[in-house]
Amino acid sequence: MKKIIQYFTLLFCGILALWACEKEINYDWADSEPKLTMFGLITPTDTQLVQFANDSSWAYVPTTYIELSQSTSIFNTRRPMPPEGVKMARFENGVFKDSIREFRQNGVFDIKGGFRFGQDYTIKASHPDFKSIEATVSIPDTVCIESAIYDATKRELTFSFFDASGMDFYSFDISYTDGGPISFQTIDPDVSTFQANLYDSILFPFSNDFLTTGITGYLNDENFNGKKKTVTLIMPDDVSLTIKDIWINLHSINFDYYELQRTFAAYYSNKDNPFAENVQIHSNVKNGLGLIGAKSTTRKIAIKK
Amino acid sequence: MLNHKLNKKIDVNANWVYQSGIAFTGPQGRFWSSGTANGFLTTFEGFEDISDRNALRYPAYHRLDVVMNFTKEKKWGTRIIAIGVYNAYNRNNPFYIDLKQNSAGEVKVTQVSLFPILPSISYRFKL
Repeated sequence: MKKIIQYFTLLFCGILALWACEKEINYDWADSEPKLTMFGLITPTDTQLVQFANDSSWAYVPTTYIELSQSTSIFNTRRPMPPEGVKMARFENGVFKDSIREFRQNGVFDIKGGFRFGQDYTIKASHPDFKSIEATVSIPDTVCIESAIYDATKRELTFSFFDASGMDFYSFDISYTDGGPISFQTIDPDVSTFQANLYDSILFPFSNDFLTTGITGYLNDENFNGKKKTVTLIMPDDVSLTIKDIWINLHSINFDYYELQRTFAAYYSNKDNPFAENVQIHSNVKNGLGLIGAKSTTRKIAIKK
Repeated sequence: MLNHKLNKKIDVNANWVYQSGIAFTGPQGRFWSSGTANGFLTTFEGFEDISDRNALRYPAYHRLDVVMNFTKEKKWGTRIIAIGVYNAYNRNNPFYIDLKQNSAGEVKVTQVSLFPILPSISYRFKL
């Protein structure tokens, strides 16, 4: 009996010492002022994605949507209504080009074409209750896919392209002619899919460091600047791959859009870990939040062998 | 720190510790993308707008520790029995603070604390 009391006392003291108390507190959490937010991905009108109808008098002009809204207090979990009466304008190389009209009464502004390769565009938005915001983006040139081969026996898809000198960023995805994206795997260290590894840890590694899996790959030319780059992908064991055409979509993207994808993954990896430092999602919107990105696309069908 | 000798056999030590709160980086706002613009994700809870580095500060840390020493001379030397209490006024000092959504859907500041009031006893001897 005496021993039981001793053990019980020890156990009680141990529990008391390690007791962690979680409770709600009154704490003056410093909220930031509401800011205008802006999201948009600019694709120039003269990419190969522009589709012409048989009647040459008609052309499909891609629309760029700019979504405008406002940020809120961290204690608010409902998406706010976009502010009414925002004025938005587009500038080309610093010169006013046109005003952008609101497409619907939900903060979505649309721009029909008018973006050209190698030019700088600035989107400015203003509202009397907020600081004016602006974002500037350069439209990257398209990069031609030199070769694309699918080896059905090895289930390997290989494509290559030449990288121009200077800092460049790319993304790519694979799809059927009439279908959505196809997932792939690769051991290429230059390719990242920016998947957030929510359960990754030193003790219980979740990810395989040597094998990258995903549906969109991202590259920066740090290791192949000004050289030819060949990417080899391992495709899933899918009968459709031998029947249908496989498209490789190679996008030249700007640094800000690449950085946005990278920080998205880092943000989600750290988000629910109180011991990890929070990651700010990359923004190129001055005085606001969000991102205006740019993407120029080239497509090619893989030759099967 | 305060030391007071009540008599030859009993003395009291009190120690008050104060630290200003630790600076940290945390969310200061929330923003959304509806997914209308191509290439962007949409989430129900939105994205957090993170503060500048170390722009936020934890609540201050303080606690009081008190110990009473009972000293007695023995034939073989001196024995001291110390009875004390750590964090005497049972303050919940922050180990970390976090934002959590409660069952009503409200975001609240929650604090995790370690070590509430802890009694202690020790036995020492000098030969």
